[in-house]
Amino acid sequence: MLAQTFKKPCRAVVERVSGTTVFVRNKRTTSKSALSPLTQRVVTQLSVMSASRKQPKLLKLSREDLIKHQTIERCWSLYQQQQRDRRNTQLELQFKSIQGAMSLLQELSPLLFEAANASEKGKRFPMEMKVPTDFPPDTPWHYHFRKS
Amino acid sequence: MPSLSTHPMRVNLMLKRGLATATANTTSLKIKVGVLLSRIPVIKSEVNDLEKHYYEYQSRLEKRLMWTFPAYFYFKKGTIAEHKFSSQQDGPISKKSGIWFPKGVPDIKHGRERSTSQEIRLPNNNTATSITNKKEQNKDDVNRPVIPNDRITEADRSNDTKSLERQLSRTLYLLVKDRNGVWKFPNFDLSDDSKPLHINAENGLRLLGGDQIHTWSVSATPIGVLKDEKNGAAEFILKSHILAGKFDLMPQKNDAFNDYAWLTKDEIDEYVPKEYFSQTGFLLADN
Repeated sequence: MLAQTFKKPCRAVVERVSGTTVFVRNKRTTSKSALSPLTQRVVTQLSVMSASRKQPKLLKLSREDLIKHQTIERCWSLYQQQQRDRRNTQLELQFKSIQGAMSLLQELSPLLFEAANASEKGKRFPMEMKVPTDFPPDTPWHYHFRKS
Repeated sequence: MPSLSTHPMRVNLMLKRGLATATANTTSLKIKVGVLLSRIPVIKSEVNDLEKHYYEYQSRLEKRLMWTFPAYFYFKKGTIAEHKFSSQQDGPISKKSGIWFPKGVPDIKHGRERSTSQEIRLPNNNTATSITNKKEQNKDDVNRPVIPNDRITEADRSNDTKSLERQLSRTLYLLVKDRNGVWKFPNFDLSDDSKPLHINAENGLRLLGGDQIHTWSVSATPIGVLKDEKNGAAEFILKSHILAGKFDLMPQKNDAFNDYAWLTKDEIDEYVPKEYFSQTGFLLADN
């Protein structure tokens, strides 16, 4: 073991040049960890995804905090329920309105009724339609457009 | 192609006619066509106080329960980038014997206090720029900070109801004022009987507001009907979206309407008569 370190000097080597001692630092030939760099990299990458040593402490709520949390969650679910109900009643009204309009159209003009009832398979949303964003674009509305 | 005799709808109609049911009062109605032209929201809707507080609470909970940020993965050891990053962070308070910690004994792993959320500060490469106006920024500078546009536009401040740039977070609907000063959705007489209702509606819209308008009909099916017993007319409402262009009503050219406005649902409630809103209000989007 001792002979090996002498054979393969790694850190500081004492060289004797014309009677004076000079310290020379060469390139490290052995890595500090026992793993090869490639293996070390894989270990690092895996450790990023693993939960070990990275998880925080569990939340330990006091009784009061727990009640607060439950109240907040209950409030939110009630709010969601109210919104859902409002939307459902509106949808129901809209559906009835469509039904009423179509039945009247059927009586008034069967031709127009058929045209209004025609299958629209393959109809797509237009390209110009945008999804709402957090902040408006530089030109919120294009007043001039080229007709295709 | 289905033959006429086997088509169920035709059979139904023929039966009705053969039996001569009492539908004389409705069959005499004149068909009119109306358009519910909407501009969909450009920006996301405003969150109310309850939503804002709940989202804040949830985000705080999520941050508290988040795993430790693996800085060793993103910054190689001994590099300048790592030094820049680590010099920005406030290290946690470490455990020492013989000292009382009021917030509990520190429990540190990977340089993170496990009982609280981890605050990460990213090194800011942007040199201190005090430019707050977007127009003053140099467009060629790729590293210029992003300054978001204001959610409240000039049209909002001046309350210009003819502009399509107002109330960007709401759906706007086109309303027109007729000669009697009553606000309503645009409606027209049926010009061409042989064409479907939605094509008639689009054509009528262009006759009214010029053809510099890009619209998209949602469906050929009418979403509702407004029966006018006095005039003996049934107005079928078709839904359409405006995508680009300008609705430009010229009062001198047409005799039916003399004014127009782009309004949200709440504003429509104030503009139109009560009875009219009760018949059409549910067709409008809340936001």
